[in-house]
Formats: sequence, C-alpha cells, structure tokens
Amino acid sequence: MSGTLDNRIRVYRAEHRMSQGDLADAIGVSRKTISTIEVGRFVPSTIIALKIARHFGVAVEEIFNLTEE
Amino acid sequence: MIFPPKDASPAQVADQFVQRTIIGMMLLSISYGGKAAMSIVPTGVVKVIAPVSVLLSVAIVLVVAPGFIRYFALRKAGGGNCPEADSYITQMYREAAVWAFSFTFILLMALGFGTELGLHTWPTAFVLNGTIALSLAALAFSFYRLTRDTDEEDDDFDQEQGA
Repeated sequence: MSGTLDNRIRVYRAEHRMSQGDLADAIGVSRKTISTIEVGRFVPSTIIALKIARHFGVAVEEIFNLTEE
Repeated sequence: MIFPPKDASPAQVADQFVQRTIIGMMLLSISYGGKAAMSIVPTGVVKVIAPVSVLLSVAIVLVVAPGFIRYFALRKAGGGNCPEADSYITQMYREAAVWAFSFTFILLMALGFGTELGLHTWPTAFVLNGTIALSLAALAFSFYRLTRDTDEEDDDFDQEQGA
C-alpha cells in the first residue's frame, strides 16, 4: 500500500499565529524538521505526529491525512 | 545552519552536531585521499601532501569539536527532551549512511573482482586509504544531496500581520 501523507500544519499554525520555529520549540524538534514535514518532504515519526496533534489539541487525523495515489 | 545562535534549542544543537560531523567526514575523506595518493606519488609530492594532511586534521578537530562539546554538554545537563532520532537531519544522515554503505560494498566487490582478474596491482595502502576516502565522501555527498533543497524560510504569521 502506498500513499501520500498530507498535512494541515500550516493551517493550524496560522490559526494559532505560530511560526515554524515556535512550533518546533514547543514540541522539541528543530525548525527544519517542521518545515520539511510541512512541505511533505519528510514523513514524521508517530511520536512527532502525536506531539504536533497534542500541541494543537486535536486528533492526529485532523492534521495528517493519508491520500491514496 | 552550521552555526546556530547561543540560545538555540536542544534540537537545533543536535542538528548542528550532525551537520558538523558530516563536514568533518568530508575533510577526513580528503585527508585519506591524500594518504592514498602518498603511496603512489613521488617523494617530492609526498612532502607537499603531508603538511596539508596535518592541517586537515586540525581543521577536522576545529569543525567537529565545538558541536560535539555543545551537544554532549546539553545531554549531560538533561536539556534535550527532543526525540533526536526522529529529526529530519538525523533521518537524512541515516539514509546517507545506507547509500554510503551500498557504495562501499559495491566498490569493495569491484576491487576484489579486479584483483582476482589481475586487472590492477595497486599497493595495499592505496586501496585501503582510497576506499576509506571514497566511502566517507559518499556519505558526505549523499547527505548533501538529500538535504540541499530544504526550505530555509520561516512563516512567522505575527510578522506577516504586522507588515
């Protein structure tokens, strides 16, 4: 099974008026990690995905979505 | 971001440590390349390569040591709640290591095959140092190739609103 992992991190960051650096600091990763996840270049680990979701107070499926190719 | 600011987060320090290590490996690759060359070039050229090799060794220490010290000081102080193993830079380092391993394996197979067929009679020191040099270069190049197009722009929504 293959697919593309879409995400809505940018949308949630905008809603919370957070920069990539702010989010990175909040969940304990580097800004490059956030920016590469956001553009779909890097598939995050489950831990990072859950930390992002927990930070925004939503379910992980609200932020990450697997799109079938 | 090879030189993060003093107030860099633990995750940034960890990324910086990996990036500095890669630069150190590139320099080490050149150093081993010089050692390999020393076993096949005339004595006059060896006298030129030897001091360059010493300078490279100093450069490696100067590049890697600050990142190493800062990273392990941070770890010792317990200042890293970041899942370092999950960071983008660490993952790319692992991918680069896999590429470098594959390249080294194929190179060694080719060298072994060439030796069996009597295609070359290179000195052992040349083959060993040359292989190490190419292996390290493969790691550094793979890492560069994997990370070169990463976006450096930040989206600071507060700044956009204020502008």
